[in-house]
Amino acid sequence: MKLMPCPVHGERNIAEFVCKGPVLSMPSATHGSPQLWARYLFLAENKAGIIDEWWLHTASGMWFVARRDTTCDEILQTWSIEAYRKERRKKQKTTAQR
Amino acid sequence: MKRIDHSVDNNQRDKSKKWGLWIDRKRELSFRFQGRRYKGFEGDSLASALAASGVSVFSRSFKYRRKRGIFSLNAADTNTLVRVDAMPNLFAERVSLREGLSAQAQQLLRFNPLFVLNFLSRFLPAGFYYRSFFRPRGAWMLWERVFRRVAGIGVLSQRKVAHHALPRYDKAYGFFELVVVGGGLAGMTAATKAARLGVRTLLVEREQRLGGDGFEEEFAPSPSQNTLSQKIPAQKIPAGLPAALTVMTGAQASGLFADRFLAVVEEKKRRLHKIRAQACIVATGAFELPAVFRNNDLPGVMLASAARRLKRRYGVVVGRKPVIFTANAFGYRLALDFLALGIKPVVLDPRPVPHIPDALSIRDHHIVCANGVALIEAVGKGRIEGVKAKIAGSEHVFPCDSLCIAVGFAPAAELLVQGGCELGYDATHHCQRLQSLSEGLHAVGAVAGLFDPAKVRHHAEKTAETVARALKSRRTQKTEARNKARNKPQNKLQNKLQNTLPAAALCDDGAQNWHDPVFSHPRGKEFVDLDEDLQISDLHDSVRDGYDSMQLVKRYTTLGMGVSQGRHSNINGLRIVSRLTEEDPARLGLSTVRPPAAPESFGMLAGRSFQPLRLSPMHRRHTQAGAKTMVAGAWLRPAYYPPSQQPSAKEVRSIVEREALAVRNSVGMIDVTTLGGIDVYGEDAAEFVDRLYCWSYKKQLVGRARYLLMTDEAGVVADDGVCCRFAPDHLYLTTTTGGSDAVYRALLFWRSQWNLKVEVSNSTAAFAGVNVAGPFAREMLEGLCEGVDLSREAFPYMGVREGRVAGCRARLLRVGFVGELGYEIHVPFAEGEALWDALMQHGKRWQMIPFGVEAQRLLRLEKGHIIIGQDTDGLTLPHEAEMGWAVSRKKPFFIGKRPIEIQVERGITKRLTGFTLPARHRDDLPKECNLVMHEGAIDGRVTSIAYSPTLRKIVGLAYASRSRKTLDIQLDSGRSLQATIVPLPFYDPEGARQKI
Repeated sequence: MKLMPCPVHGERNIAEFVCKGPVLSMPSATHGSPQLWARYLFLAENKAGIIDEWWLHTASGMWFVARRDTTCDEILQTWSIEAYRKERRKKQKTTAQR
Repeated sequence: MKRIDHSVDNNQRDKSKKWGLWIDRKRELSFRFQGRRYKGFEGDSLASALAASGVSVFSRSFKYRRKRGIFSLNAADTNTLVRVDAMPNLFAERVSLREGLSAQAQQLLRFNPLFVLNFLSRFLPAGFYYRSFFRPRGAWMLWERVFRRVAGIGVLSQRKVAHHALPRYDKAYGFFELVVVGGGLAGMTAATKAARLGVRTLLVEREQRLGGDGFEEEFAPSPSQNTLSQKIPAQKIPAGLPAALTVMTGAQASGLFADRFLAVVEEKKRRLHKIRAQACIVATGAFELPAVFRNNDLPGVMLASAARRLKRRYGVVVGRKPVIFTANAFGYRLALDFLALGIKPVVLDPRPVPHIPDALSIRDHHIVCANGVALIEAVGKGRIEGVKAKIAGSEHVFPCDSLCIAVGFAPAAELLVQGGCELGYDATHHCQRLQSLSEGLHAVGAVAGLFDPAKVRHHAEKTAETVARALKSRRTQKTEARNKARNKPQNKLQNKLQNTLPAAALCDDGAQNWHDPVFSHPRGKEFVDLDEDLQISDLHDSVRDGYDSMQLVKRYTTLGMGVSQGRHSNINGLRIVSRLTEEDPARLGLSTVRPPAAPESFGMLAGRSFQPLRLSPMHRRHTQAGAKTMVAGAWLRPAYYPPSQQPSAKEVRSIVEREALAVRNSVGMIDVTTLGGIDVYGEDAAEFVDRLYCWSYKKQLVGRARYLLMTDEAGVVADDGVCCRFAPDHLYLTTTTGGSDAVYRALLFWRSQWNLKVEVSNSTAAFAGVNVAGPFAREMLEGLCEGVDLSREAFPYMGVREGRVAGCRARLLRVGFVGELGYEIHVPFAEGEALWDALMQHGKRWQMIPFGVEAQRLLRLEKGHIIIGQDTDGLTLPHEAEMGWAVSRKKPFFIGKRPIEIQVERGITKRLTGFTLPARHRDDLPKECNLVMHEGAIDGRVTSIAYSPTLRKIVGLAYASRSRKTLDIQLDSGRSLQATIVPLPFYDPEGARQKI
């Protein structure tokens, strides 16, 4: 069984976790076009490469983000939600500065 | 075959050359095989004891029913499969001999009428199965009957065994820093070395004793410093081991899964170990490869390693007149073994010129030794009597009583390959070789290509040191990670990929593998795969028919699909196919290796499972009342309460109807503990619920309940329940029985997404619940409630109150799922039984009875209330289930809002419709899921249907597209039935009864 490096509990059996799917941002609930919503809901990108996913540690009820390489099913890094947001903001800043 | 004489044994001055290391000659055991009595020694296996008693035939082959005897003695072929007591398919070499053991062959041994297939083999080529599927038409129907009788190995006993007498299989979990698989020289060296360096190590060995095949004193002239290895022959598990070392013998590592998760099967103890290792050293050794020639399956033909095992472990010599066909040092060493016993073997070597060291090793013994030998066939009736070979163009016959084959090895790398390591074909040495290792996996010994004991020891120790170092740095890394702040990203602790494979040059010790041990014969019967009775011509057929890659050859011919899983056949099969297709064997590749690495018993797979059932605190009362239970999600719930033990289907119907009528006419109660309960606290609690569910809750008054309908992000109905507002900042949500976990997870997820001041707590397991329903519910409860005014004005329909019922702190919800005046009472879980008892006692005056889930389903159907998951599916929109009223149009947002809007704009095409049928159809009621047809096409389906005793007609729900007067329901029989469409609900459309 695979191990998941949970940001709080350390390495645990993957059976303790549930995956929700990739981190995506929801289209607008008021104006989002049917096409946009259809893509969000049904047309999964199914990328071969590195993706960020939502995972839940069921025993503790904690959601977090894991970065996974889908080509070799290797979990590269995990973040608590706060840490993930912080990292994203930092990244946005640096891209904005450029 | 014969046991080596005691005197011979005593003559051996050199203790290390003692034959029969595993047996205790002082303790004789008697046992039976095929009803006949035999004798053996303590420490013998069934196979060795039978061999010592001169039994050479153990079984008949799979397809042609040819006689078969010991071949590999390595639990890797079907030849020695026997039945012991009721247990079929046991390897005789793995059955430890015990007093009074009784074993049976799995087929008729002496005269087997199906042996006729041997002579009909021409008409039963490979791919016969496949072809008979297609041509001639209908042939398969005919053949199937024959195949079903003939095919398969072993028969399961169908004798009924009392449940308590069944063997118990169990599971255990283990955690080690290092697991070493294989307790031969390499494994033992690596394990002790690592343990000495302080690594918590587990050594797994599949045989009952450590030692393996490579561990032979003569290979290592200088006495080893390794105390473990010195002590092996003397006792089972050596004393004086480092404390960090755990040894498990008689345990087969049968699977290596992601992140070094091992399945270790201990058949004798009936236990499956699931072991997590941080690193794994595989020392599983190598399998000896057979040669392919005519009649290579005759009893008496065996691998040299089998002969050596028989002799070293059990003191059994395979013959007085042996022939050794060999192209490597192992065969010559076997010759020396024979010579030590005063037996002169004939050595046949296919290598055109003598290999100097090998030839020198037997030079002084004056035995027949020929080079450039090509085998023609083995001759003999029922067992080997001679070997026919071609030497320098002329044919020779060597009379013999056994033929030992030593032409090469294949690494036993199943576990490593499962773990992602690459195994390739080394064309210079004509063998398989590990190309790369995956993270945390290492290989030592013969599996890594090393055979020389000195090299093996050195490499095993070096590998153990490397692993110990890596584990130590990992330990420090772990402590550092623990000390880090919580919100720092967590990196996977890396088991650094360290390539500990020996250099290819090291492995080059004298070409152990003869490149071409395949000798075809015009009359066939050269078996490539002994398990599946495959001859060279079968592979020819496969390639000729176009199935010419190894994956296809495997499927066409079943090459490597037998018990040995291609251990003996894959390499030779590869060589043959590569010659036929003129393709490089390295490019042809081999078929995928999957777990298990060795056969496992069904009991081990079934074993004890961890599927806990949840029980309500009132469960004891239900069983005492004789309730028939049913599984609902993770729970066991009472379905109905039959007065007799085994009610007939008709009686069940009347019981359910009686329970339902009691609710309609007086009062009944049902255990609703299984419903999920989630408390939402905080300033933004109402806002949070408002965003999650379809209706609006922000303005919900304290003390009121409101229906909850949840849709997922695609707008599909996901769950329903009731939202109770106990305080401005405290909402209590109920969920369906099966949906509580999913809803809770969704709540947690969205809570983490939105920056709201809200806390969510799953209180499903905190509350027991009872629904008291019926016209007399209020009257009955009045005497039991404290601090709650139950009057119509003070506690209206869809009101919620907190108070005490029968002394228990309770939440009361006035809801009407069953369509009558009713109160859901939620009390602390531990007080559930007390509440139940008090209600039962108090309700006697009103003839209150408990009702089960079946009656509840009937009651809610009369009311037209849907059950999520039964009346909806994974595509149902709220509007399709006629729940559009519970979807707010004013709210700017809720989960699923936009997708619902989009689809409603496009138009809803199917709707949940109520229908009725006259009561006379009671006995052939349409089933739930029967189709609704319209003009010959499928229009929808029936989702719920039952006879309503209150309305005296059949009522049901079905999906249908257009509004029509009647529904055309197609029954299982194909007949169709016209049902009348009626508006919902069927019962009490004004809802007056629940509001009284």
